[in-house]
Amino acid sequence: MKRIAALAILVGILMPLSANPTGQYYALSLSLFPYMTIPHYQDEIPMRTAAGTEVMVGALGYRFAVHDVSLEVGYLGTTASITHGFYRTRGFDSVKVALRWAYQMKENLSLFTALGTEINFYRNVDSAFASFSTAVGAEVQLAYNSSYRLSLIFPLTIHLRKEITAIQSAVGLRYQIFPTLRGGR
Amino acid sequence: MKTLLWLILPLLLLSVGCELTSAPHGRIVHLAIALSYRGSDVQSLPAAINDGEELALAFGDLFCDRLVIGQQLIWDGDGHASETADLCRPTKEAVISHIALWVAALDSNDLLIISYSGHGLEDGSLVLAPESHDGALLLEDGTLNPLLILTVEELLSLLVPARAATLLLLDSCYSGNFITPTGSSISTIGTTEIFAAAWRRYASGATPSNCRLFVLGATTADHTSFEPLAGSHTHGYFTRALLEGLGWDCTQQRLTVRRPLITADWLYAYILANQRLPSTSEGGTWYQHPTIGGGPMELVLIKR
Repeated sequence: MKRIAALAILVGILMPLSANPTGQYYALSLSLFPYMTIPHYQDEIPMRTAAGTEVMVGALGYRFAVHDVSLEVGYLGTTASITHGFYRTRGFDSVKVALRWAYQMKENLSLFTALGTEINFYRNVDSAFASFSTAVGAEVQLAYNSSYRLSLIFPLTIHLRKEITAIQSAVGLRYQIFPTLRGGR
Repeated sequence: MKTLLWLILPLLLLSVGCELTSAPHGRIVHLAIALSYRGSDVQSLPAAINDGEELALAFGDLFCDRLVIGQQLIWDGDGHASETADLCRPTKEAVISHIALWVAALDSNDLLIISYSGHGLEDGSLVLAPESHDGALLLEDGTLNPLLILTVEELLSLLVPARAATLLLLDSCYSGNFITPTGSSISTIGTTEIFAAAWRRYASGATPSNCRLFVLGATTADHTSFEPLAGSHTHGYFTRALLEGLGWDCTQQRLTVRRPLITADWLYAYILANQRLPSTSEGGTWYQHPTIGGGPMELVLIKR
């Protein structure tokens, strides 16, 4: 209980409530997800389960009153799936570029969508493949001030691979920094 | 928010539920094909016989808790011809009939392992034993008898109807030719424009890869593979590292290491790191880079 109280005070000091920030920003998102693959080829089971993590960095982001657009690059790590019989799906590391758009519906709730593309490298073997992804999701604002914004995100991503369609249902955190402009008059 | 959670939860449960269903392991068949070409009119490969025989022993030991059927098609030259040796002679007809038999007989929960140690031609074709006992593989004009050649297309088409998982282990020159450019993935060995190549493959109409077939080759499609030139008990460099990866000790002739997890991908990485030969041409032509098929699936041999 004391720890939760201390954490709440810390967040309160760092992010005193003020006007919802707007303008150019940088963003960092971290999320964890189960990765469910539906094969386009004949497999023993209809779906296989893996897990993954995603780290996205938004270098070019701009937040208007209710709209928010950003171009993001990032890394995804996906594990091999649970073994079933003699098979499992391969794990891979990905480099991703995505364009993200969010719309603020209520004070603390936004909906967002993203379109991305990835180059994926299978682990342990010298093999790579390209893919596309599209995501929709909800973003719940946890705390903000004029310089920062912290949100809980729930993206549902469809990963479009040539031989597999995969579903990622993630939970993550998104942190946005709105740099203060200096030197102007 | 609740709606989103209700969408995600059933998907997750359904997905994990798929893997909770039992998948009983069936039979494991290892067909070892090895040719030394001793006493023939092509270069002999003395280590190839050790490769075939010890892979058979290693797989028998590795899967000791399961039903393993081992068959050896081994040709150690015609110096000591016998009826038994003739039964095991890896002629093209014998190899095709054995593979076709097992492809038809094995079911989806079985595993077929085919290992080959012998010569490979520049297009990847395997060079098999002649029916005659005169050791003649070459025709009068010096070319190889085409009746002894099993091409990549012939072998891969034999494996298409297989319901069982199939692992093809090839310790032969140019064996990378068996990694056919199908499916979504590209090989990154020696590829400088990985991004462009991956995009081209995505945009292409490439046919889906055979996700039940797993190929592990000693070398790339454009290069030879090697065995030591001298030694008392030798193996091809690829097979020696493969045996070690399986936990096999060539001196003690038994498995001395029981690994908890062995997958085809793990074996590939192990061979690449432990094959005792350079994997790039920087040191000259005495190198080989193992190869493995692409595609989304991985073969799990052992999971304890």
